[in-house]
Amino acid sequence: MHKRLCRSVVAVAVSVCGAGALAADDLAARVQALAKQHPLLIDTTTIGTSRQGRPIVVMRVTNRGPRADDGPPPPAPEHRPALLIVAGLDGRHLVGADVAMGLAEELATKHAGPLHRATVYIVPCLNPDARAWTLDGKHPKMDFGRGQSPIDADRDRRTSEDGAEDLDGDGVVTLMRVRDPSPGSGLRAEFVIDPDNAAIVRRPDPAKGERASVALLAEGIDNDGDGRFNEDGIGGSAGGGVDLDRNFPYRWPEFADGAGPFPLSEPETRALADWMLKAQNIAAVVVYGPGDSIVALPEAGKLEPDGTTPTGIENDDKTQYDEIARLFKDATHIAEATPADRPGSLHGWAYAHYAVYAMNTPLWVRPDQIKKPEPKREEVKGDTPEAGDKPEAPVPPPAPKPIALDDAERAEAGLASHESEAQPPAPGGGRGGIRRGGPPGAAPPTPAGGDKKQGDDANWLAYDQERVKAGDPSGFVPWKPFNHPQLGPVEIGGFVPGFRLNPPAGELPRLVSEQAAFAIGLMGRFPRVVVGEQRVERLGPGLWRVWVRAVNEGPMPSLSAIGVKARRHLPTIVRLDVPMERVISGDRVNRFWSIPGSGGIADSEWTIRGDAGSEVSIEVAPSIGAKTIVKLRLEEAAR
Amino acid sequence: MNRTVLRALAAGLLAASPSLAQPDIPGKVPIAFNRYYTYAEFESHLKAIAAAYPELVELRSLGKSLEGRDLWLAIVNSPKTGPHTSKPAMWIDGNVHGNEIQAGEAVLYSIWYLTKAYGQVPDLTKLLDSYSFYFLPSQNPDGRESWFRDPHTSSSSRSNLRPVDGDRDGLFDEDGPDDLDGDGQITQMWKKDPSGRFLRDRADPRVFVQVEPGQRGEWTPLGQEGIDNDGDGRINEDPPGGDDMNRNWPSDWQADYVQFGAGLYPFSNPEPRAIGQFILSRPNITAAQSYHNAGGMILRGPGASYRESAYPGSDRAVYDQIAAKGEDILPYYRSLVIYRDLYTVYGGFVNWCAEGLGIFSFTNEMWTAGKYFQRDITNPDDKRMWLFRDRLQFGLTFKDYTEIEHPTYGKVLVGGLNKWSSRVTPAFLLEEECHRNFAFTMYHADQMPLLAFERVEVARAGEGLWRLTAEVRNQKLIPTRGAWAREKGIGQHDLMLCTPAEGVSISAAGYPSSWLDQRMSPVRHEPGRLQLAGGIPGQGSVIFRWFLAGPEGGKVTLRYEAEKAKTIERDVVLEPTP
Repeated sequence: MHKRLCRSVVAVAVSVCGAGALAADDLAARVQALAKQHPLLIDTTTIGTSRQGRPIVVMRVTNRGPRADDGPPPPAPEHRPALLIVAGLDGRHLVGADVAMGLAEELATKHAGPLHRATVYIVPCLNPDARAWTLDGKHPKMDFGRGQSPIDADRDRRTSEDGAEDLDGDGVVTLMRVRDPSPGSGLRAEFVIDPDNAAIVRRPDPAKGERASVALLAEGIDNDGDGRFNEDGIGGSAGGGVDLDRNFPYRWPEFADGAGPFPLSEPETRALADWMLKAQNIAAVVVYGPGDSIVALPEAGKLEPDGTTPTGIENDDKTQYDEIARLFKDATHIAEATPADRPGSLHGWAYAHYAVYAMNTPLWVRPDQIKKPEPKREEVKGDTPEAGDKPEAPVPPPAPKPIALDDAERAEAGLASHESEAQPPAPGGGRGGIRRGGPPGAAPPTPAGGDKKQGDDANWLAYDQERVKAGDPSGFVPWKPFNHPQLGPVEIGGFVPGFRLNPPAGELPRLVSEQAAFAIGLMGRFPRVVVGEQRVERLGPGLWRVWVRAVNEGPMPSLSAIGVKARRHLPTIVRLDVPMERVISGDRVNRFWSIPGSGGIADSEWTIRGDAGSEVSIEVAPSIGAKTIVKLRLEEAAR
Repeated sequence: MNRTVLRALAAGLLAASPSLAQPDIPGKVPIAFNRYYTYAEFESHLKAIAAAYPELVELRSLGKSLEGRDLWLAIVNSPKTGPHTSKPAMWIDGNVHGNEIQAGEAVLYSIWYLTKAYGQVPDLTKLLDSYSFYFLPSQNPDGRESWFRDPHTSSSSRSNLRPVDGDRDGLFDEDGPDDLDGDGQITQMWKKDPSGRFLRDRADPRVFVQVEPGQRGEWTPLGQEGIDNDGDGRINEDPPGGDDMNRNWPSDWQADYVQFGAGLYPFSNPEPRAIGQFILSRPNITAAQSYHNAGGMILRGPGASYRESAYPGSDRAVYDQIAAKGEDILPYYRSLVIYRDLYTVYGGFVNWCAEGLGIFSFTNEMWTAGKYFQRDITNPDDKRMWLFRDRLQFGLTFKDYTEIEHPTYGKVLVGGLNKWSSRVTPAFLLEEECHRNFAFTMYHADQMPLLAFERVEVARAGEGLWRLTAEVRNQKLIPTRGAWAREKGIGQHDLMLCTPAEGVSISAAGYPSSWLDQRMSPVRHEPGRLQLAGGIPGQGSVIFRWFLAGPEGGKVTLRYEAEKAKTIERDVVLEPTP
């Protein structure tokens, strides 16, 4: 029995990136198995319970064993600067949890050394209900990854009464295109079928004399007979439920679709925020979810209307962010990705309110969005040890350049938004549902010099062909005629939900090692405030001047610019344990809001009275990290 | 005189009695409103009222405060006209800031007066038959209790008691003011100092006067009573609490570094969370008042300039009309806007109610200097204020200076005006202040929507075809859905249901622009279930029209439903209206 259990544990452990990946809802078992396999490196805490009662687990990956060398004993895990990884806010983004699990395993097996000095917290899935729903196989695949709280999206006093349906019974909810919709159908033709590629529906080009002839909407019927299709329910234009990544207090998009009734209204988001606010050692947060905020960094120096909250990042954090972005690009070679939506997001909150470096990455992008530096590749030709690990990115065929639909256009069409766009589905203005749009500026910014290529249907179709050639199932359902009970003849087709967010399982090992390299690099930059030189000088009988220097040996400043602004952390505190009546000059409590990185110093100086030969005690407590107590003897021959 | 005549006379007298009886409306629970009550005393008064008027009052605890006190809510409703959930309701609370105590008495007074008036005062009886009320006397019982119990100033004990590390030294609430002279108050410290900039007034040594430049003084102010409790060289730098629970609400909430006291996140404190959950569960809440002190203000949102668009013209007109009446009801009070006339507030309670939930909300800052002398002296000078303190309050708001030995400063004088000396309505004026504010909120409540079928007409439109036109009027100022609520999709649409009986069917429906309009803008879908995103405007109406197929004498039922109005229904017979 015991043997059998062991074998099964091993079997599960090796399958962290294997058969179960991206396909099975067995995450909780995998977490426990991994923790059992690495008892000195991984333990778990349940920080809350999802709406449907599933546990929300944090894995703590840190080395609780003895040091291999004879250096000083490592600080307690809760005092080691920590990296927090959160995945699975969106049930469609399955790759997040799998990479997070793989990361835990890779760190535990290959990087136990650095884990004496740093801790990595991993929340592999913040939204276990949505993941379970995506993977339960009990319903057609749909473009829906939110929490399942029912919401009356169209305010008509009926809740979730008109979602999308799999009309053609192919197991997938895609799109319907209606040619020349008749008067009274309530539909308006706004698109054309691309003459060069009939799979693509796009805006007409008036310069070429093209005329709109096609209406687009999600697959389904008008269930409630209000003349609108799929306007209130799962898979429709306004999907009901709460998008966990729009439910955080930072720039909370009040009234926007999926934002929830108030910030942290969901048990999952609140559990995470409460747990994070109690943790004292988190120095950076990386969120695995649709959308990017590293390859294209948020704008620096812009403020919200309140005049204080940053819209993107603080000016003085840009240098550090540039370094973080460089680490990330070196590890992943991702050159472009759709920007992550910021209002109400976890990464936005973790930066602007929680006040640590924070970012969002989709982990995986289309191969043509990856750019390995050309000259380097030629120089090292096959010598790089990584060359074997990393599959060469297939070179995409020259893509045709039809005009793709942008989010606004999709919203107008009453369509589910492009899933690879971070922007959650916006309800349609006309038929699609009432408009509950966020404030102006809620739309993701277009990266400087970028275009909409990444959201481009043609590129995805080209990539899909590559995948089919490699033996993977297609991620596109070809348009097929269907006799719609309410609309008459339509065509049904489009991308399979989740296709544009998740890689083939074979790419997981590469993604895991990329993220491990990034995580190790990031932890290497953490601030490390230590006690430097100390001096005692005799000024007169029983009168002394005392200095203590704190030095930050890590590359990052002891607190980021946002950390200094937000003051959620304590400053680095240097506290002199001498009664006030003996202090002639200097503050008993010295506060250093930020000590620059790479050797930045913070000196404290006091004049005190005391008997020669007596000892004074000084505590140096960094914002993030373990505190040190220094004992100084009041004597002539100072060190 | 025979008996019948006598009875008729008596009936006449009785009918006339409310106006005659105005000086005394007998109530079952005697409560004096020339004094203040602790939260524990509030609890017993509330329980007594609920016990005396069980048919009108349901006392409910919304949850517990941080220190475990019940957040008592009194639901006041006349069940014979329907459950409280079936009527538009007004939310009335006070005392979110623990030190702003008369706000609590104003709410208690309102419950007390309204319950005893029901059945005796026709206007208030009618009001309570039309609407329901949610009264929460204190949003911050811990802060209120501490203000009475512990040494305080008129401004301290504003927050709840969640420990906050105000001076960011890793210690929580470790250095607040201390009652050094043991009088139960926090007053001021003065140090005799040859280079001081103050002198004691020769005529009145209670007054410290700043000297002219070049002149020498004798005294230096050292701030509030207190010592350096944590030995860090600073005094009173980290007092108890710190979260301002009127900054802890979801709409336009900003982090603590933008606005000190915001809390960790919206609803991070148990009191706002419990209150917020209840308000979210009651979409029939249509109007709200949240009492504060002080300044004599009738305030509406927004709390920040960039949110002014949350008050579209038609909504603003409603606010302006109600507030204008308030200025008449409440002498020396002014109608103001929070961000423009007071200061910027992010995540305030009435901002959430108004901007987040579409509830027409005011916050009254009770008590103002104009009330001291009630003439044209709206800003009494020092001399008059001492007259008030000496001759009207008999010196009770001043603590004479006594010398104490301070551990850091040596001999200092401790004394001055105590916590009752400002912001709080003087007790002998409290009842009037409560009554006027109560009267204003009752006027506000009386502007909640009240719907009626104003005109319903059937005309023959062809062989077996009938034209039914119906007008629904809202007699009050507040619309069933405000313009902001409509714009942002707050709450659910109103519904006009037209249900034909057997043998009748709806052929078409729409909205004529007026009774003279022969045509209508058509509704293509669900003609028996018309959705009105904009509801029925304040003091306005909407006209509906259906074409019905059916025999003469056929029947339909019209029913108008709104979250913020009582449902109305009308049976209609298909026959030409004379």
